[in-house]
Amino acid sequence: MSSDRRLSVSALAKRLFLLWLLLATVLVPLRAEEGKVDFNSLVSYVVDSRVYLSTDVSLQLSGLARSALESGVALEFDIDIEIWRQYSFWPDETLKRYQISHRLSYQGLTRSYRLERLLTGDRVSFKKLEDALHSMASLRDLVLLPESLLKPGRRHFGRMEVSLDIDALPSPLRTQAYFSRAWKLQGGVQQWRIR
Amino acid sequence: MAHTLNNPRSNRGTLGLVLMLAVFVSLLSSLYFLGNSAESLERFGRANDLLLVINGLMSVIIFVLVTMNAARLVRELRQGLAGSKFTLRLVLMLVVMSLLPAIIVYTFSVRFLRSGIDSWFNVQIEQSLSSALDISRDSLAEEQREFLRRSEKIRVTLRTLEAPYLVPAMSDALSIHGAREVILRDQRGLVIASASMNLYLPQMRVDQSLSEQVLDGQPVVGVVERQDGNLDVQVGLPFNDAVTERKARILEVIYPIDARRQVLGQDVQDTYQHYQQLTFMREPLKSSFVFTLSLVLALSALAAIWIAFRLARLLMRPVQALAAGTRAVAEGDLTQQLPPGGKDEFGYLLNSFNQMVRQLQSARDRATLSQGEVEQQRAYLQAVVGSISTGVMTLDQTGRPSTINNAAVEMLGVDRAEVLGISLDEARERTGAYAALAEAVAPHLDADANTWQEELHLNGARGRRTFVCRGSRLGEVGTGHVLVFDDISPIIRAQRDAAWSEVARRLAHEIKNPLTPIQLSAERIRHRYMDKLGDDGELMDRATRTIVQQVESMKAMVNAFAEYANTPDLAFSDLSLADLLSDVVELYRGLPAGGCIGLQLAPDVPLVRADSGRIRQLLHNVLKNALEAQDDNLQARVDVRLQCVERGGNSRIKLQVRDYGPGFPEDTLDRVFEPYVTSKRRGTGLGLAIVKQVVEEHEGEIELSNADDGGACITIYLPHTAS
Repeated sequence: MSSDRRLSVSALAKRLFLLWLLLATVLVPLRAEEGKVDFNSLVSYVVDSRVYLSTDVSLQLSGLARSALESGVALEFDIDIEIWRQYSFWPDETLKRYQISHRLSYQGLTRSYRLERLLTGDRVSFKKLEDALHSMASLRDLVLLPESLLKPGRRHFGRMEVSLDIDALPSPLRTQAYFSRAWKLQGGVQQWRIR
Repeated sequence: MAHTLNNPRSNRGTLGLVLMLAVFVSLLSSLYFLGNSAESLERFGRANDLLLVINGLMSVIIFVLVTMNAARLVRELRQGLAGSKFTLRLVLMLVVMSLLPAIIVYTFSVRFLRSGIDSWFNVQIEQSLSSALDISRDSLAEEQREFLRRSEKIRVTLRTLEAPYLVPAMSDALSIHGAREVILRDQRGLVIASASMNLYLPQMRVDQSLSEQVLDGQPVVGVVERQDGNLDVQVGLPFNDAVTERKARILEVIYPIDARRQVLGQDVQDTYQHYQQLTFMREPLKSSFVFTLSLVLALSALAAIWIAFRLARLLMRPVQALAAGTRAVAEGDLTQQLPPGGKDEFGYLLNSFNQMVRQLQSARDRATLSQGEVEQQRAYLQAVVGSISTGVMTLDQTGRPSTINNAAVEMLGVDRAEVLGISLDEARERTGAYAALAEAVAPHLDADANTWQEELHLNGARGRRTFVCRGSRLGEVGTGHVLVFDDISPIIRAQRDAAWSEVARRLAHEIKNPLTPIQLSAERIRHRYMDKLGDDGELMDRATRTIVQQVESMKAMVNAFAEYANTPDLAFSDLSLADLLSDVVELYRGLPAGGCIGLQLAPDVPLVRADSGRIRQLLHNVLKNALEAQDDNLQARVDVRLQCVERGGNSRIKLQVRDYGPGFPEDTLDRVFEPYVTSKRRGTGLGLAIVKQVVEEHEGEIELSNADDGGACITIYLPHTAS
């Protein structure tokens, strides 16, 4: 009886592997160059009883993502910031959560990169892609939360994640992007302690 | 009581139909969406996610169902369940039949999809769009060069002006050169002076790369996008004030691009980029289409397999019911009724099966009834045959006894199992009554006669017996024989006894009558002439005395015969044989020739229904016979034992008298109870004959035998009142 069960489990595993192989064959090669995020600096500080955040982030896209961008595919990026209070024997308490979304597109006529902040609709054009990405990911004097929310004696942490929104890609690319590393950003997460 | 085999019909059937319908709708929808979405990227984007989710979900559900069905089929195959192999073949056939066209359609669909997507693209179109974009760019560049020239003129004008005149001159430049804004910045990019066609203030800081380039002494011309989406040309020039000789300033002039040119350029750009986007996504799009189509194929295949399973099971259900019903009938269960079928051939088959089972059951009931009757008749005949006193034995065609009744077993004095186990030929090699019977019967079995009869003299457990044996062939030749034999020994003995009784009666009549005159004559002669004869008187006395004595003796003998011949009227009463025996034995103990009589009386011997006088005579005769059998009466020894025993399934009183004389001669052993048969010098030879007569008057049995260590033994069995 147990041997039969083991047999069926191994047979199921084999079938799943074959299915995965089929997907891998149909879809684009899975192993590809990854995008990269470098947090050059990340500083949180208190001015006038408010906690601010400033970052200097360099972002580099994979060749595939860059090609897609220059072929007219608009890319959307999300910057997720979360502030929480840590407890020793209790689940952590989230104090604030932000999401800043940008859309980056290439303008063939002017050979420039247009960066649009989705929340406000503000648009900025850049001649260089690196400048656009740097401008998008780097934050200057972002107000995180009032200082009063930070309890003395407790440990508070922040987490910032820069990611490419795969769901915003056109459908054919989206299917591939779920399985390909070319659409992932390596090192896009940074965590720090707020002092 | 007939009952119907289980026919599991539940909501599973309805659920299966609903699921099947869902799969069918899903497949149709998928194919419809695929067909439509192949026309444009936007439609594909909207439909693809939905298709993937629905088809993936359906595939998982159907896959689970197919796996469960396959596992069930494997289990049924291992158990050797009826119809499982046929189900497997049917499933395989249906799967192949459904998959082959599906795969062909799939293959052609993939080709059509690929060619359909490829048809979206054309090298000439791409080249034309690229050229159009280049023209737009050139046009824009030409405009930028023009704006640069205008800016140079503005810079020349502004360089010669004092500070108070700068702003009016910049305002004039707006209208003269068609600029939107004219801004003078310091080396940090901060605004020193500005003039604008708009109401809002200029941007406080300029782009850093622009300022750096300008401060290096190079003019910069570029296109910037305003917040409203329109494009402006931005010109940056190093500005050296000729009046103040100040250096490292930046003159920034912004010109609006012609609206029509801007719209046209934007259209060209959008079209080109859309085309580029399509080109970039051509392969992923094909892969996605193929993947979705493959998923649809997988769903179709799984659905086909699942439907094949259901169809096969639906078809096999009546077959399995028939198999189960047949198995039940084969095991003797005729109460099974299959669920009634439909109006198709299977339904006809099921109904015919049910009808057949009903008829079988009816026939079996009748057969059982007949068998019961036959059994009853057989038992009745067996009881009759078993209870009759005639021995009956049947032989099969090999001469081996097949049946033997109780009378035959008793007559032959054999064990029933032993007789049934050996053939007559084997029995002939043995000893005993059965062997003698076999020896006598064997020649008749081999003869051609259908019936035969023979008188046989056999030595059995009860001594030498005479049988009349009749044999008949059963049916045709080779089917066996039946032997019927009667023990006619009692009849022969009764005939002999009757003859002797007649002899005794005649003797008594013919002899006894002359004896009295003879005796009287002898006594008269003696009385008259004995005194006259003198010396011869003594002779006369001896002679007449001898005559009288012999006459007395003959009278006694005749009386004895008369007594044997005449059966007296019996007066039955309940009496204790033990007490009677004790009295009689006590009489003998007082006599000089009484010998030594050992008496053993078992306790609680029941009473007997008997004539006390005859029983007393019996006891006297037996004891007298035992004592006279021994030459020296003074040393004679007789053992008498009285007890209650089981004989032939009945309780009997057993009286055994054993002496220690020479015993009965072997040659007269079977005739001892006949009159005049005696081994003694004295005696009439009627003692044991009378004993036997008395025993038979009381419905008892008598046996005699010689003991192994010498002496005769007479055993009498009498019924008692309790039996």
